[in-house]
Amino acid sequence: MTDVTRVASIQELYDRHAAFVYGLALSMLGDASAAEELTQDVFLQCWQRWDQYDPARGSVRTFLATVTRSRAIDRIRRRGRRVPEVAWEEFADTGPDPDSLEDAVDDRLTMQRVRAALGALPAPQRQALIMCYFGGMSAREIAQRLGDPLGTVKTRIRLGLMRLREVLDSRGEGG
Amino acid sequence: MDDLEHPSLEDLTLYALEADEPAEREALTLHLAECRSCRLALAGLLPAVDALAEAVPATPPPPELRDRVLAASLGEAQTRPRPPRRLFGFVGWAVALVAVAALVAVQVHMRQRLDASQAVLRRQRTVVQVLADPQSVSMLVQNRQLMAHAWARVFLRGSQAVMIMHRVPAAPPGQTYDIWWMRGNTAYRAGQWSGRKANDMLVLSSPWHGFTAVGVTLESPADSLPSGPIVMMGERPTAG
Repeated sequence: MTDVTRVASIQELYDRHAAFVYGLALSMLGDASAAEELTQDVFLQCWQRWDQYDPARGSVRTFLATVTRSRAIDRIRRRGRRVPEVAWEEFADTGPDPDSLEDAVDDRLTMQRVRAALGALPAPQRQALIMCYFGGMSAREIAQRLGDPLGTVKTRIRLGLMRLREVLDSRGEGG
Repeated sequence: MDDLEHPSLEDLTLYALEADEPAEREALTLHLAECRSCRLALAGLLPAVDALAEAVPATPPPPELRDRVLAASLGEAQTRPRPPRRLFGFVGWAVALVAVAALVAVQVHMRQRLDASQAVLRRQRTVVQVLADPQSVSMLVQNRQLMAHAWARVFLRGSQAVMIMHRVPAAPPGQTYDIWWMRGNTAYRAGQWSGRKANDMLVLSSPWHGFTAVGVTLESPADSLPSGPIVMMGERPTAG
C-alpha cells in the first residue's frame, strides 16, 4: 500500500469513527486528555493490526469498540478505579458532523435504542452494568464499592444483560 | 469448576463482560475449550455486551488529533507540544538526577509487572473472541500414551489461532514446549510455551495455510525447526 492510499484509508476510518471512539474513551476515562491519547492509540493499533479485522465477523464499529474498551480498561487498572459517569438519562445533542446523513441517522437510532433499553432497566441493574462495562470493574469490586452482597451484584449484572439482550432482539437490528 | 459441570448463565455473563476473577476465568476458559454448547451460549451474550458501547453519545475529538493520528500512522514524529523546561542549578540537577534514577527504577519494575498483566489480559481477550465464535474450528491435540490426562485444543478463526492447555506436565528444566504447524516433514513454528503451568492458554501465530496437523515438541533450546520428540499431536479436521 502506498503512503497516499494508506493515509486516505486511515483518514476515512478516522473521520467515520473518531467521535464514537473518543466518546466511549471519554465515558470510561472521564478525562479529555487521556481520552485523546487513547483515541490515537486505538486508531494506530487498529491500523497496524488491520489484517486481524474480518468484516464477516462483525462491524468495524464493534471492532473499534472492543479495542477501545480493552485499552481503556488497561488504563483504568493502571491508575485506579473510578465510578464511570455515564449520564444516560439526558445526553447532550452533540453528535459529530458525519459525511453521510444516513450514517448519522443509523448511529443515532442505534444509540437511542441501546439507551432506551438501558433506561428501562431497574436502576440497580443499570448501575451494575455501567460500573462493569464502562468502569472496567469486576463483580467483586462493584459489590465492595456498593456494600452489596456479591451474589446480588452478580444477579443484577446477569438480569441487566439478559434484559438488554431481549430488548435489542425484540426491536431487531434495524431498530 | 470440573470438566462436567456447566457454568451458570451468571458465570458466562461475567466472563463476557470481563467482570469475573482470574481463577474463575481460567476455569471457565478450560470448560469452554471442551464445551460447544457453552461456547454458543457465550456467543449469544456478546452482541448485548458490544451494544453497550453504543450507549454513550459520539463526541467529536479536538480537531488537531486528526493530524496527529495521520502523522503517526505514517511513522512521523508526533507533534504533541511539550511543556517548557526551566533551568536550575547544579545542586538542583544532582538532586533531580538521584530522584529520577530512583523513580526510573521503581517505574521500570512497575512497568514490567503491569506489562505482564496487560499481556495476560490481551491474551485472554483474544481467546474469548476466538472461543465465542461459532465458526471457529477446534482440533484436539494430545498423546494418550505419553500424557494420559493431558490435552490441548487449538481453535482456529480466520488468521487467529489460540491453544488451551489442560493438565500438561511441566516441561523439564531448561526445556520448553514448542508448537508447530505441520505438513509431512515441513513445520513452521506456531508458538512456544514455557510449560510452567498445568493449565494455560496461548495465542499462536497465524496458521500456515497448508498445515494438516499441529505438533508439540520438547525443545532445548528452541530451534527454527523441531528437533525434540513430538509429545502431543492433533490432526486438522477435514473441511465439511
